[in-house]
Formats: sequence, C-alpha cells, structure tokens
Amino acid sequence: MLEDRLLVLRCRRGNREAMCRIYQKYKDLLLTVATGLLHEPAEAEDVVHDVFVAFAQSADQFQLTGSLKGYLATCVRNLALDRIRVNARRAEGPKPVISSPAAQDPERDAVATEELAQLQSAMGRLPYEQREVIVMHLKAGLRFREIARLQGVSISTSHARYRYGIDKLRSLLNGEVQK
Amino acid sequence: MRPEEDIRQMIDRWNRKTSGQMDERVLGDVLHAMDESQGQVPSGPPFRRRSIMKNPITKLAVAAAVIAAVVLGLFEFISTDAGSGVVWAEVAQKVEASPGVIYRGRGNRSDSKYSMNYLSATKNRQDTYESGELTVSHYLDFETMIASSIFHTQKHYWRDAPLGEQNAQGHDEMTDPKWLVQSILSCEHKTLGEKTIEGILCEGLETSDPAVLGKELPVPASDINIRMQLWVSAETSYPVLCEGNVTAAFEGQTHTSEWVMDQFQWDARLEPGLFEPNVPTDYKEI
Repeated sequence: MLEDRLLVLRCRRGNREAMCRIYQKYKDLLLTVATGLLHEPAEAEDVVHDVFVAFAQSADQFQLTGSLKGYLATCVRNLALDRIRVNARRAEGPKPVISSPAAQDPERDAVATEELAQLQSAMGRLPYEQREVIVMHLKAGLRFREIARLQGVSISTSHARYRYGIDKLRSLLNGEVQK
Repeated sequence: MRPEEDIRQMIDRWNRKTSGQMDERVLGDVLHAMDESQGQVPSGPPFRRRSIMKNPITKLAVAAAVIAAVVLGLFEFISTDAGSGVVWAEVAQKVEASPGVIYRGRGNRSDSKYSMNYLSATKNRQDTYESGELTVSHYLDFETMIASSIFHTQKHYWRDAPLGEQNAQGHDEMTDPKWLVQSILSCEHKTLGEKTIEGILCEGLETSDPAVLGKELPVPASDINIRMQLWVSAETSYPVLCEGNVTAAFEGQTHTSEWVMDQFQWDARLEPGLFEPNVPTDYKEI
C-alpha cells in the first residue's frame, strides 16, 4: 500500500510517529502469526518484539521492495523458526492463547472461544511445515510462491502442504463444537 | 469432516491481540532503537525485554497519506472564470489572515474515525476519535519546539519531547488547510458552480493538476490521477469543504487515497489552554 511506503519513508527520516503507526497497524497480526507458529505465548511476544526492534534499528536504511506486511510476517517466521530450531520440539502440548472474537452474546462468545482454542490445539498437532503454510497464507496473506521460496520447496509442494494441513485440521476438528 | 470453508473462517477469526504491557515495552525499545540508529542518543545498554523505557516521541497530524507529503508554498494565482460570485483571491487572503482554524479530518465521508484539528500560527493539536471515543491527542508547539501525545485507549502519554528538524518541516507539509487552499488556487483548476453544503451556499473549484501534490512525491509514483475539490462559502469566502482522492501507480500496483476536511471554523481565536496537554493522573508515561 502507498500508505506503508510513506510510513517507511518517514521512518527512514527518523519520524517516530510513522514507526508507531506501523507498530499499531501490524502488531496484532504479527503476534497471531508468531503464536500460530510457536505455540508459546511469551516466546511469540518476544519474536514480535525482536522483529520490530530490528526493523527500527535498520529503519534509516530500509528499502521496501514488496509489501510491508509480507516483509514483517516473513521476519516473524524466520525468527520463530530460529527459536524452534534452538529449542527443539517441546514435549508439552500447545498452550492455547486465544483472544475472544468480538461477539456480543456471552454464550456464543464462550462457544467461539472454545472453538478457537480447539483450532489452536489442532494447529499445534500439524507438522511445522504444514502449519507454517497455513499461517503464512491465511493469516499473513503470503502467496504460495512466496511461501515456497521461504521453505525452499516448489510451489506445488507448498500447495500440497497447505492441502494436507487443511485436511488434517478438518479431520482433527471433526465433531468438535460447530458454529 | 468439517467443510474447508468452515476451517478457513475459524482461522480468519483466530486473532491474538497485544496487551498494553507488551505495547509499552515493545514501543519503548523500538523508539529507543530508532533513536540510536538515527544517532539521536548515545548507544545504551542492550535492550531488555519486558522493561519499560522512557522515551520521547513526537507526533505529526496525518489525515491522508498522500496529502501529507504535499510540499506547498506556491502562491501564484490563476484567474478563475469570470462571473464567479466568490472572489478567489479574497479567499486566499482571508484564509491566510485567519489567526486560527478548527476542522474535522477523515479518510472518507463514511469513515467513523476522524480527527478534530486545532491550528494556530505556532501550535497544533489533533484529537482522534474512533467510534465516537477519543483515542489519541497530539500537541505540537513550534515556538518551544516540543511535542506531547496522550494515548487515551492505552492510558499512556509522553510530553515535552523535542521536535526534530524533520517534524518541524512537517509543519509545512501537514494537512494545514491554509496551505491546501493556496495550493489548489495556485494550480490549474476549473470552477464547479454553486452547491448548498450543510445549508451554506458554496462555490467550488476542482483541480486535477498533479502539481497540487507539490514538486516532490515521497515515492516515485506514476500515472497520478488526482481530483481535489474546494468549496467556499459564497457569503463569507471561507472554505467549507475540501475533499479529494488520488490514484497512483507504484511498482506495478495502483494505490488510492481519499480525504475529507470539513466542519471548518475560520478566524478562530484559540485559547492557549487548548494546546496544553492535560494528562489524567492515572496515565503512565512511556
């Protein structure tokens, strides 16, 4: 978006307001992506923190060639992957941290929150590569060819991982709380 | 099995939001990092996660992304059609002579988010509202070169931060209606005739001259299509409504931006207290 280009340009010139706007605009999305990839709330927060700090440190020389959203989401993915590699797989199960959807009806809200907790739990049972494609495609808005480049695989493999991931989610969530 | 669309919708609803505490520590570290990279502060200790760092910040009012980059200052009048009831040169003079102005800024006419802007010769204040609630107040003082901001939603604030050169320049670049009016008048334009707006008989001008955006664009955009309208009261010769939109191509994509400025109060004598940040006692400094 043109707005992002302008914000980046202002950041390069040291405009803190522009940096704050970028943070406000993308913080929730990036935290959701990080949580989806890491399943560890505190680590997800640290990843988002580190991404924004790194972005701020290089803001005066930063050149945006694609979308800012895609760039930041990719940074989150890279840092999350680093942490996963360092920490290795955790033995314990995922810890769902879900913010409630904006429902007005408390009963419906509770059902929706439970449903999303189940989704988070099911996501945690997917192989990382499948989870990554789903999160980066559906939440971060990256195209399959962009994800394929990140994962170092062909577009068809990236697409297949998405397909398998979605099918597994459908299976895992089968019979769970319906909308 | 559950339908695929059902899964997609669930993922769409799956969102985690940052806490106020997280915002505080991340923004503190981010702004500190920015200061360091800009050489504005000496390098300090490494960042400590979950620590609250005091950090000054400045705020410039931005109502529309493209217009915010306008470089104004031209004051070369192009005569308008004969027979116009409004003497456009008088409009420019009255606007320029106005000691203060208040206006509402929005992204478009149906935007529920808007800002109320208070501009004097040396001070600016911008209050932003979302769904009727005051969310942020920004104060700029170009005499003392300091800025303050109050984030009502998060109950945070910073005050008396030094205004950098960049932000001081922004005083001219901002969506100051005085500058905007002069820019429109200085560009090639056509008259739109009369129209009643909010019960006020107005006469309008429209420009599609990209020069209204200034000599320099912040990005190398091409295929710029701009339409900006200025409606002026036939009785008072003060602007009543200024709105526009621009589309531009950049890196193979077309981008659009809109803006609306209305509810003008010209010739306003703004009390000095209006520009004094009034921070509630339970707000935390960041």
